[in-house]
Amino acid sequence: MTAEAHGIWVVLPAGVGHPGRVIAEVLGEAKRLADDTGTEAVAVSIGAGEPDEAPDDLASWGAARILQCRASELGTFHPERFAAATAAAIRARVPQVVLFPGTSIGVDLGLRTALIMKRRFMSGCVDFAISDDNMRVTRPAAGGALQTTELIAEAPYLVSLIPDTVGSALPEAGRVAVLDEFDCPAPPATSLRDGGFAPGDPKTIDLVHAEIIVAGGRGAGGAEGFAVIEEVANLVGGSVGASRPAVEAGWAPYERQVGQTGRTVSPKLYMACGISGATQHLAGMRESTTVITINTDAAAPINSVAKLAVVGDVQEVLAALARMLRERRVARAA
Amino acid sequence: MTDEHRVIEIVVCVSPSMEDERRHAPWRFLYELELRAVELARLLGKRDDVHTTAVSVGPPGPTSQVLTECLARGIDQAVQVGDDWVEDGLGVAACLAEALRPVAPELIICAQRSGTGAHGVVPAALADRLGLPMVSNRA
Repeated sequence: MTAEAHGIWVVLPAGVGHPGRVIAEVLGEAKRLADDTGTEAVAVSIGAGEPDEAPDDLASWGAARILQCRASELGTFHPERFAAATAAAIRARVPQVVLFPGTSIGVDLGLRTALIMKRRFMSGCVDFAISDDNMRVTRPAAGGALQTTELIAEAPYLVSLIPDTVGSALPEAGRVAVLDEFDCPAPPATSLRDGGFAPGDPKTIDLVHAEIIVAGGRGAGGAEGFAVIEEVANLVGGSVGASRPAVEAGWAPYERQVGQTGRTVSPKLYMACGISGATQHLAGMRESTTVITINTDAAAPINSVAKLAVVGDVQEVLAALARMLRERRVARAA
Repeated sequence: MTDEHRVIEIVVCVSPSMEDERRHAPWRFLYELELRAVELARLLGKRDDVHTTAVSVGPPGPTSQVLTECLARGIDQAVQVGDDWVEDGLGVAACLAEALRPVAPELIICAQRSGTGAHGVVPAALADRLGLPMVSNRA
């Protein structure tokens, strides 16, 4: 198989929303390996439709060829169907290396593909080197205290790269990739049924994805104030956020922190309660569609980005708001 | 046994403890992600008709440490498999498959990654060997 194996593949399941930086990094690594071995880096899109990434982006990140493996039966991402399609494409085109993005979906797809092909999958690699008849991979071991080096003897080598290890090279505009297609055979019957997407719980989702955030700061009035903030957040179906001083005071956990040293958020509604609006905080929520503030100080910098600025005590205003929301809920239920 | 008295068997797979892990937390042997798998099994095992078993493949010392912790955390039964380190995830999956085939559990819970290899190979390979569907990346 090794003799005719050709190309360094990066498998991109369509419709799973992989971050561009992850794809850029894997494609950059594929290009490096391709340059080392005198072959080409190929972005392989698996799915019913177009790849998520624009062809120009894929080319600028290092893909010399874009192979679209399509079958209408593939539908939205399904681990078993997509693995079958990936394995079929690998068998038909015989690449030398198949890189999977080191995301949870990428690694899952790699594992399942490898099992279909009865091969080994080396997940969680941090470095690769290809020689004539083997590939050497380096992986962290013992919680990162050690690194192990292993050899894979027979191509195609199926591997994944841990994201953010080698970093991505600067994209080179002007590169052009050849467009290529592969008609996937109809995927086999599967044992998993797609139950569709369900929205995440606003209480626990990452603030980055939250549509409504009710955030508290130093003026929120301690843990008690945060209890009211949480109540309002629950009533409006929102998530709790916090400024750095509130997190440092222990009123909210770090993953709720908005700002330069926390999450950068862009919800449809951001309610800043008792937050003065330090530059570092503004940097993390400036992109919110609508900002409402509650603050005792009318001159607080946060009011410069507010559509509605309520001047008053956070706990008083929020308690009144919570009461109103509860009454409205009762009225609606009646 | 009649159908009303049917016992649902749930298995949780855990990796043997390693020196390295213990250095950081000498009172604890279970790796963090596996702790969640064990806790999920325990919660499901609260029902009267559910019986939970923890399984670990490896040398007696490190496996009994981790399995003892599973029992202390509320798992009903512990099974140790093998007598030496099985380095490779595919090998571990093969051992687990042989041990679990006669048990025919309703549900097998694995952590997304183990504390030893941490390559995430075992669950997929185990499902493949037993011919069972695998649902991955559950929160």
